[in-house]
Amino acid sequence: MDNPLLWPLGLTAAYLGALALLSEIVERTPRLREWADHPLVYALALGVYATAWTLFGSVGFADQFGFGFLAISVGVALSCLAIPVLWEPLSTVVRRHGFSSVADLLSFRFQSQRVGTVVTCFLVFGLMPYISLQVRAILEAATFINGGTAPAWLGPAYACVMGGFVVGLGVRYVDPREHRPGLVATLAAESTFKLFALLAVGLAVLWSVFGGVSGLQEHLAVRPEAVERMYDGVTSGPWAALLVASFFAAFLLPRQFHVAYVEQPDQGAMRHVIWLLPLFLLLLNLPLPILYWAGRDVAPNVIPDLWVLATAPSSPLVLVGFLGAVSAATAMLLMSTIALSGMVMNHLVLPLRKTEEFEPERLIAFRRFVVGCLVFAGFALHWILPRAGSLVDLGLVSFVAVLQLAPGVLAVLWWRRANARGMLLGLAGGAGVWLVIVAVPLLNLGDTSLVPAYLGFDQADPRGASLWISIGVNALLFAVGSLFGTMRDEEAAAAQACLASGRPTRSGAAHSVSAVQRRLDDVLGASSAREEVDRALDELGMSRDEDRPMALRRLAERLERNLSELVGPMQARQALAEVNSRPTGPDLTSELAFLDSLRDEELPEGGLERSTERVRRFLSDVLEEMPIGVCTLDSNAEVIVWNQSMTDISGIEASAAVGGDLGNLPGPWSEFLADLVAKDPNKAGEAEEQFVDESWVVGRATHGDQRVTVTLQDRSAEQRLQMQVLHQDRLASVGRLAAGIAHEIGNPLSGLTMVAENLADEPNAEDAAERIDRILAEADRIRTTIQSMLSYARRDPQDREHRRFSLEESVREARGLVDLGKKPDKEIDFSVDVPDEIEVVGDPRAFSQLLVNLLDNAIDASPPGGTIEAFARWDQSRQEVDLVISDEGDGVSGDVDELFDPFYTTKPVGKGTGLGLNVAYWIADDHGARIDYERHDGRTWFLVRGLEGAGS
Amino acid sequence: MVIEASARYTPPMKSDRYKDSGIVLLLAFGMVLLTPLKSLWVTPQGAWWSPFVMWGVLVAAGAWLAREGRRG
Repeated sequence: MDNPLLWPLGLTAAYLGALALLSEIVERTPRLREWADHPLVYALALGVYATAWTLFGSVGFADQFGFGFLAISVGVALSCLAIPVLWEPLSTVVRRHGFSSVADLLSFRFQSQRVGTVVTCFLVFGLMPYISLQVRAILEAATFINGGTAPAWLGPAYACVMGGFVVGLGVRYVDPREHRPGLVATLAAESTFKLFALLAVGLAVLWSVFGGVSGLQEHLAVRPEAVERMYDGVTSGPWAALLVASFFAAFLLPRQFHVAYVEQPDQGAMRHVIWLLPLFLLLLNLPLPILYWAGRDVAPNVIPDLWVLATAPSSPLVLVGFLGAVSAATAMLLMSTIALSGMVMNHLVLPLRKTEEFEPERLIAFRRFVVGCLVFAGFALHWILPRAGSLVDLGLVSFVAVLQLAPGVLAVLWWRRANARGMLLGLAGGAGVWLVIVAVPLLNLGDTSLVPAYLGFDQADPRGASLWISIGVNALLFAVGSLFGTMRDEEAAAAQACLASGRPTRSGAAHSVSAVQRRLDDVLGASSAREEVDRALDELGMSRDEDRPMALRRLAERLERNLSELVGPMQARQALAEVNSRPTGPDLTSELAFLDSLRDEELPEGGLERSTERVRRFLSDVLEEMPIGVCTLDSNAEVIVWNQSMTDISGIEASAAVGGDLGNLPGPWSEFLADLVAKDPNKAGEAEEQFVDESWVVGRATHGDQRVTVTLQDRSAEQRLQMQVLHQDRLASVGRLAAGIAHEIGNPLSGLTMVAENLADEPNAEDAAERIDRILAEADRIRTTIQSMLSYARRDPQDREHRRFSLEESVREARGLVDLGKKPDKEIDFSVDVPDEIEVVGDPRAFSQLLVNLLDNAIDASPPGGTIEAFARWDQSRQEVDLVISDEGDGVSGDVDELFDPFYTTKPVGKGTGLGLNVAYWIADDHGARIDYERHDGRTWFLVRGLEGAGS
Repeated sequence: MVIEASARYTPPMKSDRYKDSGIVLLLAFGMVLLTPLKSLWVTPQGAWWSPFVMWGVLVAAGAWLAREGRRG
């Protein structure tokens, strides 16, 4: 144990190994993977915010600004209260579009690869001091443990160990699309350990130095200036500036953005962060004032940044404190380099690459290389930077840099007018100020610290002044550039998609899956393109044969989203832009279908959009559950809506219909719907009834703006029932006519028999030929009667005709039928006045049944010797035929409204079925007409109005 | 069917309340941290732990807000 660094370095290696092992175990254990998605684990992972700055630097910061050091954590707690209005809306946008970094977000919003590149470069340079802070904290701690000197190998050795760990663990997570429960669990474990370390050291110091809480109180009671000095930092230091900086750093620092949005298990998890992260930071900061006061007493000769170690009462506690800092620094390095390397790949490397060289394996290998470079750049900066000021000075440089992204990010959510020119101008201004009055003094390249004083800022507060000046210049130039610059169409579309109240944009359509893949071939390489297309098809449950425009747009959308995570949103959009063959103008129906494709996503966050979306989904559900089939077509005759009833009626699933052309629908449905849609829009809403594919359907087409909505009603069951009733009614009629039939057949049969017998007796009679003709005539009469009856009684529902026929013939035929049933003792006269030229359109046999029923009813109602009149008129103005059947009966004594109800009859029991007028009513309705009951001059009229037909 | 669906549907008031509450709390604590209202917890002559009490209140407010969010 001669070498005091043996234990720290050994434990560091063991600790890093344990973290790697934990990550591996979580990844391999399903139950642990589930646990890693717990909101508490997620909140603890966000504790990666607390780095070596918090563990070591904060005590040094307290020495300068008292409780001002709290601003770095209190700002985060305040930011957590903004989760409902800031973090969550941003999360919605990030998750919806599959962004993996703030550079992705800004480059998409401003539709500018240049913005992404500038942001990436600025963040890489701006965060290097922060990374070097971690290195410096650990090396200085190791040097302190080693007695104040550091061996020459310490720095390079630590760089190699740390670089190896970050690259090694990052290998598993280098693809941003992988789910990373192992990484989140590792970060949570790291947060837990550093909290434990700081609390353990803090409590030990509280008892060892002050003798407990009461001892601390007594200590401070006799030194009131110690407490007063702590509060000075809040009232006169850069408190407000630090609060604002940390407010935005909480979610804009690349590692915070990555954990908060990319590793977020679900939208609800963020709501636990509102209080869990502030609580974690509160506990973490609680021991720091104690350590500060103890350090002033116990280790006045040690730099305040190391008082956490210098005040620890025992070697094991020194090791615990050291490991806590190692833990915090490692997590920061791991996440920062993973996040930055993704940005470098998406916004620096890929835009410059040769496309044919792109393969996922190369991409991942190169990303590992970038991670390694970033770690070693941090080490290099540590060696370059002069050791002046505290650790916090390094961190604040990076915080001011990150703050320069705030105007752009706020504009993403709330300022539609902001454009790329404003963003670049503002960033250039803010970065310029940052470089001159923040970075230059840090690098010892010149003294620019007086610049804020020249501008009227408090010279005693250069940190706060530099922050206000840089962000002020940034915001001003951003606003001026946006207000006076022009906005491109694609920028406006992206702005709409990103606004807090916005919805996603849609990709256009390609004409086939192969067309999409061919374009991606050029960008990703053949095998990767096929892999990506197969993956997207698999996720969407589509086949390679898919050619429906809507489905292909969904495929393009999914590919863009997947690739956005892999190669950045601008690259992804560019890759798919050229396969879009559809104009992107406003198209309400397509938009509806697109929104329906997002049903599985959570509702938008709050506000009018959430209300609107809930109502839309509710109405969509109602539409889906309607017992009437609904199908909507857009202006290209693409099916947009196809509800469940439509599927039930046609047997065509929505997944097969939606997104395809009407002409691609199977069988007779395509023709039927096409006929409906092709109907004159002026006759909107007119019903079309047809027997289609074993179903009786009534269809209506309604033409709207850029869309046609077709509704279908399945009347098969109703039709079957109606046909049964009609059939029963006809059979009943035949029964009633049986006597007449017997008479009609019996008379000619008797005559026929008699003539035949005479002919048999006198086979050579001179008039034999004439007699044979009479026999044949009588036989023909019988045959006609039987045929007429069979034709009337036997009818298949599917034999319905729709043609033009003579009304006069129909009336004559019906009269012949009812004549058969006339009672011999009841003489009735018929008067028919139906012009020969009047024709009716419909089913002649059904219409014959209507007439039989009306005439039958008239006969029953007529007194003996009465006259039944049948007359028809062609109404030129209405282009319709009216028919009247009247009798001399007394009319209806009961309720006229019930006259056409089924089973309503005023006849004696056994004399009527009560179906005659009801059936007549149905048949008239089928012919687009209606039957009215009227009384005129002591006669009863049944008036069939509105028959489609022709006359003169 | 429609009546049943209507009964299931509740107006989206909770979420707005969650967001509104977040804005109110943000403004309230923003004022407590950045304006002369700081005197509520900046007590140079008093207890050293009052910043942490203020912080504790913020955590409690956050817990209440989170509960509102989960209800919505």
